[in-house]
Amino acid sequence: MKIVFLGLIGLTLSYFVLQGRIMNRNGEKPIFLRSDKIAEQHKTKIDVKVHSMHKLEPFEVETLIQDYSNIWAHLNHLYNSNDVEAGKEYYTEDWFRQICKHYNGKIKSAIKREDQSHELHVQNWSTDGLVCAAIDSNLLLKYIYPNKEIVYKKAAIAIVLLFQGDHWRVDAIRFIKEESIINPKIKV
Amino acid sequence: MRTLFNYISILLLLVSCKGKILPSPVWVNKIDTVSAINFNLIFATKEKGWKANLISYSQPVPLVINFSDSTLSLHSKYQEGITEGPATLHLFKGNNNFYYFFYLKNGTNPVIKQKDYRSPKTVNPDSSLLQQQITHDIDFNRNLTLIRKREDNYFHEKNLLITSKEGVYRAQKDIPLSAYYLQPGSCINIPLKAIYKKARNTYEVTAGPLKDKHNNTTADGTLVAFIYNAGKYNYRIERTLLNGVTTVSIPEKNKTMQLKAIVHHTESATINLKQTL
Repeated sequence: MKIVFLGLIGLTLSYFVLQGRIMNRNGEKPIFLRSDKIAEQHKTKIDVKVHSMHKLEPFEVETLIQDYSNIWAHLNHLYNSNDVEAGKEYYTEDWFRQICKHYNGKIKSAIKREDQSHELHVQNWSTDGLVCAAIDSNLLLKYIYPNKEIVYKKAAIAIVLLFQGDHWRVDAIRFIKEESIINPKIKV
Repeated sequence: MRTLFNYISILLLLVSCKGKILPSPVWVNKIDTVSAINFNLIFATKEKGWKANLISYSQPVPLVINFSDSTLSLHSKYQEGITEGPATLHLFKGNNNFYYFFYLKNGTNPVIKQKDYRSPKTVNPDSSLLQQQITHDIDFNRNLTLIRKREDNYFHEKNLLITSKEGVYRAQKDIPLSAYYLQPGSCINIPLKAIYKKARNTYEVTAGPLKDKHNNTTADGTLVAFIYNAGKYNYRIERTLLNGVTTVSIPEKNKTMQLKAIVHHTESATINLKQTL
């Protein structure tokens, strides 16, 4: 009788231990505990020019430059892989919904895109510091094809950024123009 | 001789691994602007087994391919709008990569909606009735469009002089998140009235109705301090406003008592409680 009783206790304990191990834990850490390797490895040159009625404080410009660099790190990653999830911290909910409409898993794009430099003209800046509308003119993009051919393009885009969850996020974009430019160092 | 044979075999093997060089498929229904929502791109080729991605300005999208009678037919299975702009069609098989360039557009008459951001979201009429408005127009797929009334810009900003009546308003009636609040301001004067209640030997003092400079009733919960003196002592009693009014009972301690009420920096006139009998 004693052996049966101990056996039952042992079975119950084993059940709980095994249940605990197979429990589906959500391992995703909050953003402030995560390191964003895509953003950390990204390097670009961003020149901010303010034309808005409300003038920015230096620390606001600094934050904008850092977040805009991170946004482009993820926009390029999205362009290269259709990995919608990696940059979700830099997309507003509406922008995230939009890119998810074309998502059915990651794919490797043949063309790799890198942003080389930006000239961000801040057109509107809300007095509460939550809305930024800007034109990124002289946006220099580098496209790398599978045969190692490199093409440089100069583009202009209009972009709306919203400050949500501790950083700027892309909410809407308009491509305005793009033209190929010849880099004397590299054969295009 | 045997070594030479081995070298030739390896060379042949390498050549065979390189793959066949294929001619570029010919785009039969070539156009400069492709509709992202409903397109069917036709290519003429004798080869089967092609794969294709549409690379938009924001992301690559795999395409569905149908092959029949030396014709490739490409379309997207999603039938959804995308970031408009220059796009590339990448058609590939083995080591053969072909690129076709065009402009991607979501349609001729996209549904445009206006975004209207207001700042500040809570307006205090004591300081100003000016509110910053930032607007832009976007389509259903988050593409900015030129502002309908001002076809020269994507963004617009102005300072609005909003109503002085307190309340919750919406910048866009159908969007609850566009709501902003105009709170009542500080009161500009404090009317006081005191009635002597003989049965309790107290003065029933009423302050109010308290209004701001725009005739809005002062906010509920605003602290009103009643300060009175009786002999050589001063007393202070605090009450909060409800619907712009508050009352307090003050026991009669002296034949000559003086009373005033204070709300923040606003003071009422001092009244002599004896005289109000």
